[in-house]
Amino acid sequence: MKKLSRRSVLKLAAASSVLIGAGKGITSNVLAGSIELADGGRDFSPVTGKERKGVPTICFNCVTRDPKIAYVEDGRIVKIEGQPNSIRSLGKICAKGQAGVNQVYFPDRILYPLKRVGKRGDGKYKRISWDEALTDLAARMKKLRDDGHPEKFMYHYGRAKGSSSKLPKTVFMGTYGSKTISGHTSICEGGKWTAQELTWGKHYDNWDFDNTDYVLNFGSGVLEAHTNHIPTSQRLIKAKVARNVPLITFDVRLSYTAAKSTKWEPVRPGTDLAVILAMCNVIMQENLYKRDAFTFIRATENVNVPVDEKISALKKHLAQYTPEWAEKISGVAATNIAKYAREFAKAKAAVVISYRGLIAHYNGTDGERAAQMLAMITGNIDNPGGRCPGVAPSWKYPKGPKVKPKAKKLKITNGTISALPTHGECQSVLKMIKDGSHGRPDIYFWYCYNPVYVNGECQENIDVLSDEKLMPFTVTSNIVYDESSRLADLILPDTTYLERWDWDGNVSPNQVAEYELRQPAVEPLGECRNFSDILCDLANRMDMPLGFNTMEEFVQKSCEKTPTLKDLPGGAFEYMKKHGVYHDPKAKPAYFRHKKEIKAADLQKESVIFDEATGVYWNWKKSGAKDEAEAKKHGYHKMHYSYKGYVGQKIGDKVYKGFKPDKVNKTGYFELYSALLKDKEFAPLPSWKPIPEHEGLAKNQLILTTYKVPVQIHSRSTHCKWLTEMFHDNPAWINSKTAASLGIKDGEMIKLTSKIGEVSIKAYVNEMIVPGAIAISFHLGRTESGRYASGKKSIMASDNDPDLKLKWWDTYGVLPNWLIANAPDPISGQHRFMDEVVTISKA
Amino acid sequence: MEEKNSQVGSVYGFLARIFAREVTSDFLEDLRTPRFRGVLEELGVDLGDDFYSRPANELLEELAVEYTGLFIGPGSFISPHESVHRVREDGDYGKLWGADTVAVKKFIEATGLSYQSSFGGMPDHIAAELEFVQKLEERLAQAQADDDM
Ligand code: SF4
Repeated sequence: MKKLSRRSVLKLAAASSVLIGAGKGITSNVLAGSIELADGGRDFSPVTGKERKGVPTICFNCVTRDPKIAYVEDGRIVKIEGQPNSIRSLGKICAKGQAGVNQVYFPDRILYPLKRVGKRGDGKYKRISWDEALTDLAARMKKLRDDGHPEKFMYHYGRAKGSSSKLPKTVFMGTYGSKTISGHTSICEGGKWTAQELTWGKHYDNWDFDNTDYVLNFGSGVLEAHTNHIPTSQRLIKAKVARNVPLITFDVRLSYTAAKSTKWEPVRPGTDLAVILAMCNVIMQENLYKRDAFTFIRATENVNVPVDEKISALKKHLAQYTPEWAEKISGVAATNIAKYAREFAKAKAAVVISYRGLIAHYNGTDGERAAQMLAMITGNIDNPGGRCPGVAPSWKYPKGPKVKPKAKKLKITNGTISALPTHGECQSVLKMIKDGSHGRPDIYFWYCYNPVYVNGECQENIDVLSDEKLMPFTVTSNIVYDESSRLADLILPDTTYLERWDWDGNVSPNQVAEYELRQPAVEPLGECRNFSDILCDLANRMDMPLGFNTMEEFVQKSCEKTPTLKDLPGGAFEYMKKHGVYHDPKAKPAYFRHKKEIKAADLQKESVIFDEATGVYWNWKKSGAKDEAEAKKHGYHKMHYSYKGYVGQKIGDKVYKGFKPDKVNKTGYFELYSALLKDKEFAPLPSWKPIPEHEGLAKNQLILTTYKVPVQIHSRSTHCKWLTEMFHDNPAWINSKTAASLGIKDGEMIKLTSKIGEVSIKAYVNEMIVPGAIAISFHLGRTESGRYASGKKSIMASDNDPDLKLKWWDTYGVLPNWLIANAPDPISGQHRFMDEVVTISKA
Repeated sequence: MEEKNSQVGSVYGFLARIFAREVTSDFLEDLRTPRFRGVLEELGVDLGDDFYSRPANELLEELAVEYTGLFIGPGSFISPHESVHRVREDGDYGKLWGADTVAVKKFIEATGLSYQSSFGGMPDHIAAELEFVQKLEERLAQAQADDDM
């Protein structure tokens, strides 16, 4: 017989299909019926054929929190897949999500409570019982509280969301009486949030890619590392591939997102603001703005001016920012700036997206305010296809004892420099403790956070955390022995997110809220206990019961209290355990919410008053004012918490819901003009601000930029072998022209020095980064976190992972934070991750 | 693309038919068309002039005897069932209606298909398995046509 060619097989196929199609030759089929596809959600062992147990839960390998299904075989998680019923993720997950399995079973995991025995940092620990650990901690905490100093107990958290945020922060800390709490938002995207709070009130923008016709991207790695990654990235790709939607990415480097964009516009670090201002200028001067939108815009000090006056005020302000001017600053061609501005304004629906490339700079808050301006003046705010205030589930939860102590606080969480740190200034906390003038905590407790590693100035962080005089007692709840756990006096082994309960849910990409439940796929390994469960235990030991004893109970009660869920068939909790996700099938996507009029009855309610100066109706009782007279005397703008009582905005003769404030006393307008910023002596309208350190750099001085890759989480994944096998080295990107002018060759070792520190790193010379910049990724340069991450065995680690023998890499990369100062954006307190200037030399 | 997939399915369907039972007169008629002859010849399968020229009833009789001798017996024949041939990891082998038969039956039925009562073979008959692949290919082609991948 001849060798079969593809062609002859196809011929046979065609001839056979004639037989089958004719239905006469091949009639005697063996099988009847047709193959039915199941919806997914089931899985079988390829070895034993046994059906695996599928547990609906939620990913937490990044903050996106995609619903997923963990498959369990004989008590072990063997694989993770997407949840096909989720309207957010549409059943998809990313590589990091799949590697969640590694979070549970990595061989360096902490499995037992450990108490330091040697000097802090020496790595000498003794295994103790939970009872001993919690008795000790409760006694210390109780003493502080009973001595009248609960504020000396500080809680510092990193990635904590949903019920794992609310239970510790609001319920436990509220009941205990300490407000010395810091998150980590300022080292993430705090500046973006402050800018949004100043303009449209709430924080978090959804990008409506399903309905958009044009996308401008300023510094977001939306296709690789976004805080709503899987829900947004798949929709953006679909828009691009199925509908040919243009995506223009402005980025210092050719990120994966830039590479997949219609056009990558290389932009000098920290100059996106200039480009956006010039675009807004083109749109205003060429009358491409949407006149209607100006009804809701505040562009002047006086809120009551007619639309024309707002338009001319904005035109006048922006006139200075010509595309030619912006070209000189940013390196982006003036003709392109004008072209994109016109295309953006003329598109039926267009969305401007942004992240740390725009935000994590000295001028980042104004960068985001300018992006908001670009969207608003073109009518692309809260519309189908535009930039919309996020829609997320609204969970109700048990708040703990009704009567709570008046909480006390050490003023160490907001730094001292920034004007409106609405999301704190996490990177300054250890510096504030070192300084001591605002007091110091006696107990510093951190959770899902690695203060030494994730902030700038690593050396100072280590010094402060090591010093027993500055930090008398340090505690962490963690799964991994990382750079900070090493400096903890007490290490409490936490559960991974695959072993715990939570209610949760992130912003929806389609403007319809989705409720999500996290449940344990397996029992916690070793003696690990969930952080929130320990807090319930501690509360009982301190005679301040919270009204529930475990996170599971808290989640169950929350399900039963939450209006959208409480009537679900079979009971809310049971329903959520079975299905993992719920959305109201009748819910319509939320758009144009600011245009809703407020009912007259709501304005006539007792204690609702009208503020002439701002046109705001507000309920003074919610503002913290003693009485109505005090409220009126200060007025809406000045009364401390008046935004909490906001009811509506009078515009003309109507009162609208408007853009409701959340953290600051803005009006109900979309505030391009911010009287709050003016009070703090900043430009009230979004304005260009050069970055002082970037002026007049010498030839060997480069601007350091940082980035994330798709297969690692910022700082929580290098112990995951599947991910670190893919990414374990991060040479510094440097443009070939810059390298040539400095005589640096590809692969050569270089030394980078900043005012803070020094690192040696390999140079990666390429054309994928703008000249004058140098880029180092996050994730790597671990000195702890186990063998996959750092090559170093953690204390009390086991050798139970056969893959340890297969580990083939011995590079662990470099952490840029050793070089980066803990400096805040002067408005928001945002950590200036992308601003550091480094001097380069051959190592 | 989808057309090619469903056509590949037809090859499996064709082979399944060959193994399922003796050749019938309709089937013989199709096999003897010039088109099929051309395809078989291109594949290097020459059934000889005899096959195309002899009276059908004579040939059918002869093919039926040959089919029986090959797959059914008596004497030495080749069982068309997987469980008879495949050595399992647990060493089990050589049984009619063995553990593999059960596995194949369960697997095929789990996809929504069932065995026709008129079929006389065991569930792991090679014709059943080939036809299963045919159905899979057809389902794949349908999913592609429906943009449901
Ligand atoms: S995007 Fe984030 S939440 Fe979603 S699967 Fe990946 S790691 Fe998990």
